[in-house]
Amino acid sequence: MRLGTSHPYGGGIAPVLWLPSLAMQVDIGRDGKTLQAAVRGEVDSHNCGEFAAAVRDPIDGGVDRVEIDLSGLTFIDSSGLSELVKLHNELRERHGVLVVLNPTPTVERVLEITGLAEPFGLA
Amino acid sequence: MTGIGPVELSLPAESRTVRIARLVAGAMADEAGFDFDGVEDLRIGVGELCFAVLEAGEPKGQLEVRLVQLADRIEVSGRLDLAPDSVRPPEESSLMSTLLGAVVDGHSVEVSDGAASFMLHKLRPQET
Repeated sequence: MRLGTSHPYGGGIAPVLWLPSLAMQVDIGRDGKTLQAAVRGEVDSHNCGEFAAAVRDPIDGGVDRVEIDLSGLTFIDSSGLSELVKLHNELRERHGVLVVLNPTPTVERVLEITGLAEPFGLA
Repeated sequence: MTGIGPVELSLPAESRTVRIARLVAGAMADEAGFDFDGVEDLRIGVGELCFAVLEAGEPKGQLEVRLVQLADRIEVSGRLDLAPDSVRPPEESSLMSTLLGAVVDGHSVEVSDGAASFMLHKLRPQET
């Protein structure tokens, strides 16, 4: 492992290969009609259902905006993206909106590659 | 540069173990001199294809993953034996196709009567 490269998630000196937390955690808050979720760790085909349920279950008729803070999300694959797309579509059908905030560089790049950055309010 | 490997993993055929394959792939990419995006690319590619074979049917045995660092590339292959009656055709969602097309330089998934397998390669960055 080499030392001396800028850490992509916070500056300073850190290993090139950063080993992130492998667990996934979702914290939920509410501010009026806005549901706020902060996800940490990695979301993939193994836990994307758990991730989706954690965000979807607290949504009730009074929620018209869901904000997902991705500043702690270190990895997402196509299954996790698919859950975000489903949530985006469900909210849009009820005239709501999904916004993702503060993606890490890795996740932002994945959203750009797949064309999801703009629909999720990042462009 | 002398490459490491081949590295061979024999993992329980469960979705939770895919992150171990991703971790090893990332470490190998780092050793091979890939930049941060390149390391992440390989992790994404290996993860997507491991899940593809795991979802191809009912596993019969371990998920075998082999990573090799060659002069110009890293090659990763995987294989999983499946119960013949459970085999499903490989499915590649549009998101998965888009991601794989961007993060690796070649990939394939094959499903036969009794097994599913994948191959991928990612070219090493050119030394300046």
